[in-house]
Amino acid sequence: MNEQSVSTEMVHHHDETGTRLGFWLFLYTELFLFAAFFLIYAVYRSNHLEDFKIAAESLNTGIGTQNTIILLASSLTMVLSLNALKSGKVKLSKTFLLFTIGLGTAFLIIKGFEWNSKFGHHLFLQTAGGIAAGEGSPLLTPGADMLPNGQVLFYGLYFIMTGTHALHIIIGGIWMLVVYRWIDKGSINPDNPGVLERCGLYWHMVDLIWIFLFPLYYLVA
Amino acid sequence: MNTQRENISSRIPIIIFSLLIFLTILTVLSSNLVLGDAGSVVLAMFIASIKASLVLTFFMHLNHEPLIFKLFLGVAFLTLLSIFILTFSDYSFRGLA
Repeated sequence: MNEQSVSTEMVHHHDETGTRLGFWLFLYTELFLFAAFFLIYAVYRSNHLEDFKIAAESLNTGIGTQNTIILLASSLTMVLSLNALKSGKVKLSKTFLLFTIGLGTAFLIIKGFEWNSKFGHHLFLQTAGGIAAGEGSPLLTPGADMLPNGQVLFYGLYFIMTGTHALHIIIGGIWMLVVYRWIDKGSINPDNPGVLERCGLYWHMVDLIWIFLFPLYYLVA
Repeated sequence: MNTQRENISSRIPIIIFSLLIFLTILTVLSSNLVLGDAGSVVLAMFIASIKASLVLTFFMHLNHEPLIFKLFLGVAFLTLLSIFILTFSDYSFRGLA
């Protein structure tokens, strides 16, 4: 009897702490991805200080601040969602998760408007193929209208870094929708909240990256 | 199945959120101070680091994790720091010799 129960436990054994530790390792690989961008930003900024400041003037501090507050609020609702699930309040947990998804979407919409206004000023991320086909921006490709090198670098980094960050928001949003569905089906429940917990860790990591992106692009003009 | 659950308080997350908003406003306001370039970047990064520590400690619950989680964070941080220092010890002295 005793032996049998031990072997059943072995089969169902799930190491929640180990899984979480593994997930943290994954988060560090994400952190290093962004760290490479931050390093490139730091080196180019120190080499082209004036150009970086002039280009940063064109970014709207108000929009950046608004998005920062939205993302921080989404991190709060994520924590509240996990707390609610762990306390057995499944419905409340789902509501907070929906709030989190909504705030993430709001962040993306605002970012979309911001990018769009940059596109209106011929500032966008270009590909070598596009430039060869004559579809490059006159401001960012060699020619009479080209901006100084430092500003071209600034806009390139701005689109790459905020774009990679936005991609993570989209991935986080899709993940939350899947988790929502699983809570609905009951496979994620107060006794098994691990997936929501890791989804939350991912979301906080995305928030963490933005905490550093925000001052470097919107504030140090 | 365990139906009797402890009620996890939402007080701490809300306090931390308020602090984060306060620090965000502080960093926006402080960007108007005339501190010179190095000063304003250092101040902005200092405030960002405090915000990051709050998120890591309370939102990501590192305060409730075993020691090994904190060691991992330390190793990741030191690795990042080494890469930044090594890169700048190169770039800062280029063109001097």
